[in-house]
Amino acid sequence: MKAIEVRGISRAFGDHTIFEKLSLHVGHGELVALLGPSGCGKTTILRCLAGLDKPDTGWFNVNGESGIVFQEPRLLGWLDVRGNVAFAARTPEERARVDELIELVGLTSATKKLPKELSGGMAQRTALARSLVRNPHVLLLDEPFAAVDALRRYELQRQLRAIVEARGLSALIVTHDVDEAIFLADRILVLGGEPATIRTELQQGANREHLLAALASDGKDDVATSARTTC
Amino acid sequence: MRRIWLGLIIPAALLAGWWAITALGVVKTYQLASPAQVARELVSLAQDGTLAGDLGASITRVVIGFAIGCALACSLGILVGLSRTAERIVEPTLQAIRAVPSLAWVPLILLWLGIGEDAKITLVAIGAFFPVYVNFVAGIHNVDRKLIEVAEVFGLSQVERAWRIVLPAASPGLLVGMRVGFTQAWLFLVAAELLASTKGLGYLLMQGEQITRPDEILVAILLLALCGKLTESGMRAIERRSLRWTDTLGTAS
Repeated sequence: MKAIEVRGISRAFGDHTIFEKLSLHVGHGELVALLGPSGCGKTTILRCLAGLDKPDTGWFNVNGESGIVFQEPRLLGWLDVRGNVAFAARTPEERARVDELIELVGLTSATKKLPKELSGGMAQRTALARSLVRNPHVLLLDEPFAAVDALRRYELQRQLRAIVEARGLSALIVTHDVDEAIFLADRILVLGGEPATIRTELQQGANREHLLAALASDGKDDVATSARTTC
Repeated sequence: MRRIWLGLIIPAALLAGWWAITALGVVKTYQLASPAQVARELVSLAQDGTLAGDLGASITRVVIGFAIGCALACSLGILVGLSRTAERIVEPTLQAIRAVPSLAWVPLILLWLGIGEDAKITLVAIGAFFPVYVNFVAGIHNVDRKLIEVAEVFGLSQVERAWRIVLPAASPGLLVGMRVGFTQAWLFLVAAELLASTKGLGYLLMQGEQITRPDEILVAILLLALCGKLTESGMRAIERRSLRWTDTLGTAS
């Protein structure tokens, strides 16, 4: 069984059809990017998978527990970093995982900080830790780094990729950032048109590894350029 | 420190003006007592125990009445804030009741409940109820829907959502309501005590008017100002402490 499987879902708001008969899947341990311009329905697809919206027709399945990171951190302002990460914990086992996750995202020194004292990147890392508390199999990410400045974004992307690999997670990341899709994903689905359909599918595999090799020797700018020329 | 000094400029000027007017004989002494007379009256009321009795009676009524009004407002507020159905049932009636100038209830309540403690506490509770209720409901309605979605994603029950997200997120509104409600509670207390009472600061006011004792009236007014100011500052301190997490101009230090 696939980690995420979507078959022929459609969604319309009033007369406006966002996407029609859309199918996709995410394999186990695979990180798939759903790439497309703003407003093409990417977020709606993710919201359907997270159970926050319902497709009008079609079928989908998310295998096992899923965690979600939204475009904004959506932290609870009255809880500190620790409280926010622990928010999702239900069992003593999950609560015991909180500190380890805070360490994983590199926020141990900020454990007692309130959301208003965090930078955008730190807040989003808190949200990422929160999404991992229930030990999900699947991670749903809705442009999680869109509001973070370029340098930090690169840090966060690297961190995310490392976490996904280390924990054997399957992930679907929605993004409008071509660089991000190329850098992060094993496979890229390009979404476009009205109603939106999947235009192209791009198996990255070797390209990604070239990219990482280039990254290890050069700076970020070179990587972005070489990424554009290789794809 | 500087903040406190700045706040004292106007009271000091008023006191000086008051003293000058009475010392120069601009007004008759039966209309306005001098600061010294007021101070003497305060001391004598304190010495014969009248002051403690009146102050104690008023504070007890305000505290009990406020607690009752506040508890009712919180319960109804959470119901109306969270349930559209409850809102549709309750809101039109409450809006109509609120449209009545609040002090108009005083004679009716006194007629129903007599001049005992029940009537006064009920009036104070009515006074405290509306500010708390209105601000709390507004606070709940202002809770960011995006935070509710977080609860939804984590599969929290309705009760958990209310308790863990809606209530804390609405607490700024609730606390503002409580501060305004406390001020309103003092207002209703004086109204009730002026009309029917044998004890309390309102009674002191009324008695002073009947026996033409401006010094007694001024003592009562000063004590009311002091009580009002103390509750207001106390509530503000609670607000500041518990709302340190909010990221707004009001809580910036």
